[in-house]
Amino acid sequence: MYEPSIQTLLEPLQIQKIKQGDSSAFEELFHSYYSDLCNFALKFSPDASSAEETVQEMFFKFWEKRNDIQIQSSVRSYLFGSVRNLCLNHIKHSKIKDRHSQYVRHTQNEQDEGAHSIENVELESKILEAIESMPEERRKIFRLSRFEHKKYREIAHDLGISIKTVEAQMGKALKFMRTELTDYLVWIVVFAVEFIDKFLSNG
Amino acid sequence: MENGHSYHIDEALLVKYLTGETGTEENDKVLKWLEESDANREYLDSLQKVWGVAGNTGYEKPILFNSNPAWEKLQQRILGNEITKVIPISQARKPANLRILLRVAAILVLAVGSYWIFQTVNGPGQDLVALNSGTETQINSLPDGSEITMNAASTIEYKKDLKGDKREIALKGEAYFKVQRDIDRPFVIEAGGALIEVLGTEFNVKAIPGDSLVEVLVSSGKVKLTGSSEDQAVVLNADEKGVLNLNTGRIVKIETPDLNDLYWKRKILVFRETGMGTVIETLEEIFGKKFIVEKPALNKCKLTATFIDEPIESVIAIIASTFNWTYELNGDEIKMNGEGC
Repeated sequence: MYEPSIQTLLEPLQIQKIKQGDSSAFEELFHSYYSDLCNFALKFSPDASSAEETVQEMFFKFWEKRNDIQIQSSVRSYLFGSVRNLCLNHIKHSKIKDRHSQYVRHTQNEQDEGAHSIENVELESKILEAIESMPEERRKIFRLSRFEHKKYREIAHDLGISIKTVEAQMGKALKFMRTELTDYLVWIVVFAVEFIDKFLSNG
Repeated sequence: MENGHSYHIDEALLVKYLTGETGTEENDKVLKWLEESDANREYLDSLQKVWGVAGNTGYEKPILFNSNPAWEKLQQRILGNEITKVIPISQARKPANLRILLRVAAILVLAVGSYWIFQTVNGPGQDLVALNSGTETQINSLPDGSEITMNAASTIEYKKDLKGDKREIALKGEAYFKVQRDIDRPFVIEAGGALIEVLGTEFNVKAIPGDSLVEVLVSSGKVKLTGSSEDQAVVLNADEKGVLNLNTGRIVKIETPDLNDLYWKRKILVFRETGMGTVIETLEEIFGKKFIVEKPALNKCKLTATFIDEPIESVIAIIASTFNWTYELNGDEIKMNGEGC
């Protein structure tokens, strides 16, 4: 029997509808996130079709246990978190089955065995999950700065917003990511070189 | 050093510093802040670690994945799973004496001879199952795994085991259908002169005997509604309503119907910026009460609220507190007074 708590009533309408068995609302959710989730899963799966399998598996489980779901953060963050967990489980299982299988796609230096360790995958997937969990504008700004190395002024111009907004969003982005990665900070080695360069050029 | 601890500096400034965008004054501000405590230095250090490692994740251009075939696959998987969750009819709530009544009803119904679509196919003596809902709503499962929730005073009939090329049901009254997908055997409902063929999964049919209208409201999937002639067939999608006028044979399609029509089944009332005039009409119909509104201005107020399984007293109390109104309950009469909007 569906019995809503206060928590449920505060959830977005779409989620409430899904919990009540509304398959149209569920279908909408599926189509909105499917491609982004597959791209995310692709980084931690052997190929595109496993990535798709994993995402479908996540949605299947979501529907099956819809009544028990409690979304504390955002829907987006919940979905990416769930896909991440499934990917990590698959990797762990396959590592147990075959110690020599290269389950993880090569994103880093191939000579370094350590690059494929489960800890690295956990960290990297957590970082990507955190980036994906951010609201759209913040995510765009962060990506333009961190991956395309654009200056704040350029970002402000590209997105049609003020530099102040870019500054504020970047602050929020990094603060958020730091919170998400709190448990992993011990694993991260300081990338001193990059930092020192910037420090020196600032004088 | 964690949640709630303020570092007395705006993260926006720190990130600006990390990305090398700060001017001289801003730089000084940060350096001064760094000198203040170990905690501050550690904080910047942690932000810088995050910044550094984020850059190493190697952002790749996204590929477009087609969600449509994936959705079909997922649906098949979910439906395949639901077939195993059927509640057998014997477990449905039915008192012993009602069972006898049903058998009697089935025979009576056959004798009366009506326009049920399957009556001529196999002649008299054909096993029919009839279900009556009495004064309460009732949920039943069909032999194919479909589920029907009947509103009070409604009747359903079908061939035993749902035999035949088509799965045929005759309905009098109102019922909500959850149809099990079977592409080889269309699910067809005859209701008060309308033929409803199911292409999807969930919808509501209202066909009260004596009414000149048959209404179908689709929750999900697709339903084809046919009136007296084939060219008067309309396909309804999710959240659409079709109304067949039995007198004219015409079907009207309503694209944004009042979803509160499904209240009887789901016990959910949704109002989104709905004028109080309409809200009161809905409440009067659902709860059978009479509202007396002291000033017409009250009807101008707009209500946004969702009520799930609330009795009328709670609904009124909430509305009154929302608009700062007073109310009086006298049996079936409800008086409301206060300032308009």
